[in-house]
Amino acid sequence: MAQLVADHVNKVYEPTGRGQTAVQAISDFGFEASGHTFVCLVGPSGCGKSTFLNLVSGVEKPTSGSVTVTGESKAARIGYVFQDPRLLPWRTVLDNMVYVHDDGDRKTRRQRCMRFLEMVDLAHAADMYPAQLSGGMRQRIGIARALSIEPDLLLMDEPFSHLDAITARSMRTELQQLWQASGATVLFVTHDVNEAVQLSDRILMMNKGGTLYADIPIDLPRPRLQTDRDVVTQQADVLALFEQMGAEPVGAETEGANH
Amino acid sequence: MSTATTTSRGSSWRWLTSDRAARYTARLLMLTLWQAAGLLSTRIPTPIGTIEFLIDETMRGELWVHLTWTLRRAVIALSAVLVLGVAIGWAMGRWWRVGAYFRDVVTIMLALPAFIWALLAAMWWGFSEVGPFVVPVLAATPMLVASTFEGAKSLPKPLIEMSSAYRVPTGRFFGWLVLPAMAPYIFAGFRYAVLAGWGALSLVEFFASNWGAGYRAAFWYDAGNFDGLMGWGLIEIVVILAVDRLVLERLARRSRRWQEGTERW
Repeated sequence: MAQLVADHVNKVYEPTGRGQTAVQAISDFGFEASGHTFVCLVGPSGCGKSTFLNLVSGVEKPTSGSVTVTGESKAARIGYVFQDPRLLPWRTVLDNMVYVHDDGDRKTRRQRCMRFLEMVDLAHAADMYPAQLSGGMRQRIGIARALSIEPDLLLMDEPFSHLDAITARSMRTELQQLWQASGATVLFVTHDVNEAVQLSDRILMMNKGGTLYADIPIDLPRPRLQTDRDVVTQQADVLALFEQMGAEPVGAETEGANH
Repeated sequence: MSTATTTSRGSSWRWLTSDRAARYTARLLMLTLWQAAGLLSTRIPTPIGTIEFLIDETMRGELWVHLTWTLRRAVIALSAVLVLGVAIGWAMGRWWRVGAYFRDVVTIMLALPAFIWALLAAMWWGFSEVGPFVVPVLAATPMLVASTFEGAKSLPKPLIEMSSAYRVPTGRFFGWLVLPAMAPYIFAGFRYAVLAGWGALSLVEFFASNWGAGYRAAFWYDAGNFDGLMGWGLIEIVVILAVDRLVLERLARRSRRWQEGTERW
């Protein structure tokens, strides 16, 4: 479990060429999350959700403000599941898992990775190359890789957006089970309101320009399905907030398609 | 019985009309024409004369001695080319200031013919061992740098970000990501660098050495023995072809094994 503190975070991309202007991706963004919590960042495309994940992971630095992640151990372990699973194509599945581990000897690392491959039912694919697997299998490898480091904080950037509706649906259920078995704090980016309501304990709604518009608690029993009555009701409330914010109500069109 | 005969005839006919037969015929024709041309003039070496010379050179013990000198120099110089070329090429792609600094230098070095370097080496270092090391390095490194630079520019940014997010140790980052991603560029560049370096080494041995295949070619050239000159030229071609086919091509294929594995799917 981790404690995540974002304090007045700003991120500005300076112009890289003539005729370009600076872009404010994140504006005075602040929130705290800790414990075994599933937080969803929801907002329209281009509102800075993925940028914020990059700031949390350390891939990018904020222009001002700070993002602090404290874990149970000295340095917080951060797992990251990307939109595209980002696997080394020239390495086998097992090597891709081992790649991100930095502790223990080679044998221990491989054994631990195999355990997580078994958890996502892909132990048989350990010696295969990523291109030999389907999109859904690759994404499960990405999730297994992130979980295998036993993260304090798990970042997920629209991990199911490239998958077909049926695969995405089963993977949402699988993710809930895996998360409940782990102790990680999750920060999950999506533009799909229905997905956010199904998965999260809390929704942070972002607006264009990277501002925080609303912080909505989701207090529903688990496991949840997209078609659960409570989920659908809560989704309608969140969509209404979206409309108030003036953004495209994402999720209204996926409500039927993703079932 | 008659069926077997028909099949045998059919396969013979297919072989005679195959691409392979055409290639063998072309080679035989070339050898015949070469032999015929050699018979018309004493200044043109013949294939038979060249082979006879190489047998004599082997019996005298000169072939092995001089060839090993050249091979030893080539291995040392090309190892340096590999290290320098990959390091400089990668740094050029990684830091734009390094790229800006080396870009013109590499272009000039690529444009400079190897025989200029060979003559300069003869003037600067005489018949010492410095020239046979420095000249192949100067002639071959720019090719590998240019190719590696292209590879470094095209490193997959998403994978670099992933490695950064997971704080992958530097050694593993280079060994598992950077080098394999650049491998096709490095192998392509190194194959050309080996050819360029080998040619440059022959030249510097020709002009400024008392040992090696190039020196031996110069020796027989000065003696007016055209079979000797041709013989050593032939040896240099055979060696570099063998290295290219047996070592470099196999290494390049090995670096693409993961792609071949996926093509079946």
